Amino acid sequence: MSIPNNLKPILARIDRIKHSNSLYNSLISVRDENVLKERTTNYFQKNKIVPYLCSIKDNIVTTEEATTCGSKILENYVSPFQATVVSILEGSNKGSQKDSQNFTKSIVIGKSNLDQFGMGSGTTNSIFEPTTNPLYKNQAHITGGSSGGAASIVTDDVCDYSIGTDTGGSIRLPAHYCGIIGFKPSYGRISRWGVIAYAQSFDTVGILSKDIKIIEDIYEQLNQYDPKDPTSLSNNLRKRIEEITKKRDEKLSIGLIQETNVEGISEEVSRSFNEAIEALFNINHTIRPVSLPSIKNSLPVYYTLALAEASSNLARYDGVRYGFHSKSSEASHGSDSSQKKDEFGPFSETRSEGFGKEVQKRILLGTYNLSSDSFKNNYLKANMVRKSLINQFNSVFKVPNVLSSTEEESKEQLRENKANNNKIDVLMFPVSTSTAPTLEDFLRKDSESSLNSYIDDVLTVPASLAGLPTIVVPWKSAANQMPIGIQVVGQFGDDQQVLEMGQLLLAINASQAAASESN
Amino acid sequence: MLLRPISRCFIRYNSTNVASVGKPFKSLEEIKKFLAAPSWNPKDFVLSDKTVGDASSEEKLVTTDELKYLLRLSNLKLPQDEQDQQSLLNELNNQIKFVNSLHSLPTSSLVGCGGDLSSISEQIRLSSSSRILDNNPVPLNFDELMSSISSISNSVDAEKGEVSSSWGPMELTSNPLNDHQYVVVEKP
Repeated sequence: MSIPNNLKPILARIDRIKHSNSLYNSLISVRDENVLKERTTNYFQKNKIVPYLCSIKDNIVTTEEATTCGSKILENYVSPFQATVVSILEGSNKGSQKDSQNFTKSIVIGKSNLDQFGMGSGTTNSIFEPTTNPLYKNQAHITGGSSGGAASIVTDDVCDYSIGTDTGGSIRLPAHYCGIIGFKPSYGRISRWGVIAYAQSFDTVGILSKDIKIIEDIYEQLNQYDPKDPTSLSNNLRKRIEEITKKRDEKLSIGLIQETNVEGISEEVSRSFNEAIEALFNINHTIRPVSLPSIKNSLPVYYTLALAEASSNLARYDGVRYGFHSKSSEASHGSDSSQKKDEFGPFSETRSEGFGKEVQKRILLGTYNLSSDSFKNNYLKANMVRKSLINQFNSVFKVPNVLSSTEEESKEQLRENKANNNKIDVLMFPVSTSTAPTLEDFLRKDSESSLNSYIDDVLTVPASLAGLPTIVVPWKSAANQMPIGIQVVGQFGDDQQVLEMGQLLLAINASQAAASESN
Repeated sequence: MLLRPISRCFIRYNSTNVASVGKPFKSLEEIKKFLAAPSWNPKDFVLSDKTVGDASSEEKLVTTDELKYLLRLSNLKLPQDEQDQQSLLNELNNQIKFVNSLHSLPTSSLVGCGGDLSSISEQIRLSSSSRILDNNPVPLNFDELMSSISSISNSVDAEKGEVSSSWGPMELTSNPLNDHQYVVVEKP
């Protein structure tokens, strides 16, 4: 039987999966090629639509293969249930609030590589070895993390999109380093049921792709209330957000934040960012300076709160009910080892062998932050600074935050803000101070001190602390070798505005590129 | 406090902690000038190993015994090698100095955190409202509560991976882990 022309490109991409993976190590597990082709062909024959090819980050559970989180402690763990996002995308979610017939289904090709449990900014902390960046052919560069595998399989044109997670920048940094689009919606928009928790008050499912229309389509499918996720945004709040965001001005007010203007931003990043702002200014959008002082404290706040949550979340991994169980923990029973039996707890052997070094360091710091004096001085204080930052964001955006105000208060604030005309629609700033470093440089700095990679998160963590919707779009400049990610942040719930801003930037950049080519 | 590096004081203290939106930029030159003037350096947070254990530092650092205590709480082992132990301790102390930079931030400067912040209960109350959740949930009335309870399914939910009779807590007693380890359950 001859293959329909529409199907040939997608089948060719399926043929390329193994080769791409051998080059960049994007995927931890890959589904059988023949099964993928069969599913693709069956879907096309039934619906006359070519499905999407996608990958799922390996901290999101699936039933067809192991979910490892890149860690030995879950190396052979197969989940008995499917994450809500996977069920929706595969068209098998019975409780879905949206009719799956209206959407293009996705074929999952496999699970993408990540830093263990999402802890890292390079996708170098996986037991399955680092993932490398397809944008760089001559020397190995990092993809960024922790959703590095998700980004690289898209950059190499195998998948239409990938599903990742973003806790402190793990979608946005890989999107920037790999030159693709990364979208982190508002916290609570997309279900976390089946997402293995790192820090549950920060973890957000996000989408990576080269095509913003695909991101919009996938977001539309996933943006629904899930009763299984207690942090899922309620239907009532979703309706309220729709109400207050429906009427928008054509010309936007865009904020440039003083505190994201940090030292050490490379010339390439600075050049691209300036070009993007200049282009927006030239088409008569208003550009305003903004100050959000609490941003300077975002990094210590994030590393206090996220690691405290991680320490608690990872306490469940003891090797008793599932996952890796250390044989040496049995051997030490009655042994003459210099460490007394169980001196560090009955599961310490399993956990020390099962978790990577970076995971152990973060658990330790998280435990410290929750213990006695530190709880008062560190954890509670960090929460208050987080609240202060959220309040500061709320005070600069035109759209009120539905979480912080009642329905009447929101409407009143919106009226006031529109009348005064001194607030902003979106904020813009770079994603990182540089382009993707070489793998060698990154590993060297990381071995000197973990703090070196913590600093990489300085421009992504603020939006995570406040749960704000954020998009990173690649800006191509004639003067730069690599595309540079431009970050757009909106008010909580104002995801549509952020997506539209992303579309606008891409359109401007494309028309500039077309104009310079014709010259 | 005078012994602390000046750059860290700059990071910690901000004379006004109030957000602001300025007047629109009138020209590209104004924008370029704004973007060309960085306001701070995040690398000031990163301390070299030399600062750890510095006798002049006023920071309360973690000792080896305290490290062991934290490892016990975390159910993680102390590395066997002494050099690895010292390296772990130094790394932890560097991270602690990093997060401890919040100590010097005056709570009175925190926007929207009114109330008696010296009280722990007030701090705990405020910390719950820093979550990204609805701060004004509508409480359930009695009828709604009873209706919610009755709608909870008693049957297993295959979508959640629940399988009927899949785990019997007493079954473990008949399945020893190996020759010399087994689970003991005392019957009342």
